Amino acid sequence: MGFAEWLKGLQRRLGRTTPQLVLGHRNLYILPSSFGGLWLLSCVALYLMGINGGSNSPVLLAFLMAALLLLSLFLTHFNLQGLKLQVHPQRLSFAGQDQVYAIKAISKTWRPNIKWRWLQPGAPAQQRQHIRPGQQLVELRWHPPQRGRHLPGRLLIHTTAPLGLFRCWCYWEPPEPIWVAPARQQGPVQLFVSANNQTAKLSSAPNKQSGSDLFEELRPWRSEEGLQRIDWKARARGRGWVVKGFSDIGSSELWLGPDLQLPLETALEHLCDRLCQEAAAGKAVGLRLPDSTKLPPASGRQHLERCLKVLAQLPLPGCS
Amino acid sequence: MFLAQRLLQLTLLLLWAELLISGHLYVLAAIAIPAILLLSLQPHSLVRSHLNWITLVCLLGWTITAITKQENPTTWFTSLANLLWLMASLKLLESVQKRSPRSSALVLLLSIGLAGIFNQNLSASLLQGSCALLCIAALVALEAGPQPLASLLRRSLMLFAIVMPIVLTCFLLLPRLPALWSLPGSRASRTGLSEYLRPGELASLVQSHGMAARVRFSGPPPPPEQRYWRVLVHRQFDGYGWSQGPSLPLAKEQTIPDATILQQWLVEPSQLAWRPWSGHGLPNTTGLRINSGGGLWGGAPLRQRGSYGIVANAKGDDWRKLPPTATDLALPEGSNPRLEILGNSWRQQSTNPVRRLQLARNWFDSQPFNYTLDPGRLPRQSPLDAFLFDRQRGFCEHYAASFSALMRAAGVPARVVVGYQGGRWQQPLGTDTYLLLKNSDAHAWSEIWLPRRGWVEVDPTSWVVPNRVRHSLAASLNDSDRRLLEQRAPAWLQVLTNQWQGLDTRWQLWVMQFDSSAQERFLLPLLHGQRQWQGLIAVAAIGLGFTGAITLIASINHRQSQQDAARLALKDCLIPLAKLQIRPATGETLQQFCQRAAVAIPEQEQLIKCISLHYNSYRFDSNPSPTAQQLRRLRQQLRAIKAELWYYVRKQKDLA
Repeated sequence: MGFAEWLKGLQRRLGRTTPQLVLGHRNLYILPSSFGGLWLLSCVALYLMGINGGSNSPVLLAFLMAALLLLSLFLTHFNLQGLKLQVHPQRLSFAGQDQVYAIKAISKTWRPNIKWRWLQPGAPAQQRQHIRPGQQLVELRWHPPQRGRHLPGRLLIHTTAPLGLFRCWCYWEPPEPIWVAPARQQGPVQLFVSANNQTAKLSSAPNKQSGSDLFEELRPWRSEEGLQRIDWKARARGRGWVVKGFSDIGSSELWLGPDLQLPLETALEHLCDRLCQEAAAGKAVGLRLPDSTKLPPASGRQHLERCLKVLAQLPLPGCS
Repeated sequence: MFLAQRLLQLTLLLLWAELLISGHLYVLAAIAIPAILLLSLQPHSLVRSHLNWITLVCLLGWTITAITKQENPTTWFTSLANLLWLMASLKLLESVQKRSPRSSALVLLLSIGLAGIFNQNLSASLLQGSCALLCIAALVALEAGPQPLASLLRRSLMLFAIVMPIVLTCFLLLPRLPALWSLPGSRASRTGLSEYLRPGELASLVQSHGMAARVRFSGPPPPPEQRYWRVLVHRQFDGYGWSQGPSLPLAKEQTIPDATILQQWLVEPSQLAWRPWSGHGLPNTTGLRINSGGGLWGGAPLRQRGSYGIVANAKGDDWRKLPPTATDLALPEGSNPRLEILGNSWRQQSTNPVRRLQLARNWFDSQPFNYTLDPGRLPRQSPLDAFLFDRQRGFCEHYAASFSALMRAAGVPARVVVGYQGGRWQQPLGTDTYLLLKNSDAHAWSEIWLPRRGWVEVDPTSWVVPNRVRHSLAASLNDSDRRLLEQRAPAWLQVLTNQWQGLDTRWQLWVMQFDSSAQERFLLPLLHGQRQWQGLIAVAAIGLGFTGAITLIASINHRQSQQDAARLALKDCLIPLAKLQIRPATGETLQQFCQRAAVAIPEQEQLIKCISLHYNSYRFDSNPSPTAQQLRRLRQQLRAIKAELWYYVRKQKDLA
């Protein structure tokens, strides 16, 4: 076994893959930072200056700096120790866009300057954040490599607070996957409208109003939606302005599929964009894919996410 | 980042001010540092692109200055120190332009330490401590992000306070390493006694108010007429001035264990290798030896403020009994002919040295001598003749030099002693009393050899002006001369200065002069002589200090986690109700408690219900979590409620 393999094995062992990680003695590592090394050298220089210059001021300063150095070993460790990290349901995102991976951080104390960095090559730059007491959502930038279901990979959490003399760190591999749908790109898609075996045009989309009897979701109300679908009962109970969403079970069904004339990835990108557009318009659509996968027409966010996840999971060209 | 930069700029400014006042900065550094500081106030692309040029110009300027200063070999260390201070300012400029102030803080800390070698007095040490605190605060600010300055300084002070016991433990208990090499350190005093005594030299020296030494006594101080502190013994007379002459043998170092320290001296830097002392007793500090002339030899000029003790010597003062040599009688023939004639006449009148001394005193008493700070320059030819017989205006060195020459002419071995006489007794509040010697107390007197008595001090100045010895120099001068001695500071400032000097004396003796011998004196009684335990005790004490510090930090963290600021404010607000025996019961919500309290005090019902209203709205209305502003508002509301409740409680008590 080569050194690189051994290192990889070690890295694998170091990374925790549990959905919740409590930082403590078992998973935290600490070593002096390069600044800490310089600090120690300065202590020695000051001490020598003091004893050879016949002055106690530099000696006192050297002792002060040395004491701060030793104390900051504990303070830096305390800055991470006890921090609880939990995975958080991730939002679905699109390939080619910068995304955010959310982690829930639970802390009893104020923790300054916690730095976060994904260890994959090409990962976004390091982020730093002060953790407040209580629960906090830490949103980390993340570059999706391509569409699909991805695990975010190894996360390095480290700090040098309060003085920058020590660096305390730990690794974590959050097990919550992130779904990456194909990138959105306008273009042609295949339309299938099935209403008693008759083909209909796109403009003759089924009337949701008449067929909206399957309750799908509640979502915040937007002023342009009118007053028809507002959940007045919820409003009266002080739950704010929300709108009821319904699945469409109408007789006229709109199905979308990739344009088979185009390369698969491009066709999926077009399809992805179209699905989003239809969902934004509140229309019910179904998904029909070349591998005979079908999702019956429906509307709402959950349906859209189901569709996008199906698109994300399609085998990549060249993969079996 | 911004706050950290400002703190570091303030640090550099304070350091610059301290070094400028103490006079250790070269002109180049004195001008360049504030200029660089000004440039560092605002990041500018022009400065950033020309940073290398600025550094090059500064280095060039420093090299030229350092080369011109190399006449005195001891200035190399000052030159290097100036270079470091200059580099610290350049590093700060670079850090502001390139946003990396961390290393700048470290260089500034080194600069502060270096300044501590040059300036050791209490005010300088306090300033250096403040600078170090600002540097630490800057480092904390870099890590802790934006926050109010007060909170930042509080955190930094807390860090300081937590590590201070560990620092003191290290300082007191860790064995001191001996110096590996000697740094020239601070400059020697600019004014002070010199190796060669010219007529008129002391008269100009006494117009300087610089501090020379401070002495603490184990008992009461000696009376004013016995306060003679000898430094230099001049035995060689060249017809004009006096010098020490051929070196005299030094006595062996003697240590007297468990001897009581009679005098504890704290001496300012001096160009001389000789230290002031009373001439009685023995030094208890290693490296100090008494020579056969009664001088206390320190081995080298005193470049730093030094401290030593004098202990009693039951055997008496050996140096007084050592017989004179030919040098003590030598008088350049024809240098002062009238003086020689007068001395010869006393020699012919009596063979008894005591009688000759009496004749000299009679002669001095009969002459209309004038004691003045402005005696005028004596001629190079026969200067003592001109003083004794023509001008008759002089200062103490004129009288001492003339008297000693007259005694030699009369056949009595004599020499001139230069040192200090008198001193000001300082009694600062809350600290130890001490005698303060200034340059204005510089004095010269004579010593003559009398058979069976040895070397005896004779002060001819006291014959002319007895007040000089009994009271002070100022009391012995006329009005015009006294004006030369006057200090311009108002009386209240002098009182404050005296108090400050008292504290400074304590600081010097307890902290700055705490060397290996002082450590030994401190530890041996505590260890009952078991010196081998020192290392173990030091390690144990430091470990204990760290355990305490970490426990303290952990408990602060725990307290913070258990009780957040809002909870603490609520707890504080409920104190007045507790005075009325209304306390939250176990399991009771705040709302229930407030309702119960409102029933108990119906007059304050609205006020009490407001507690629950404000607290709950802070806790549960905030989305996603309360802001600092909301917390501030809650605190204000709860404080206002508390004040009203207190007023009610007091009123109830008054009624009761």
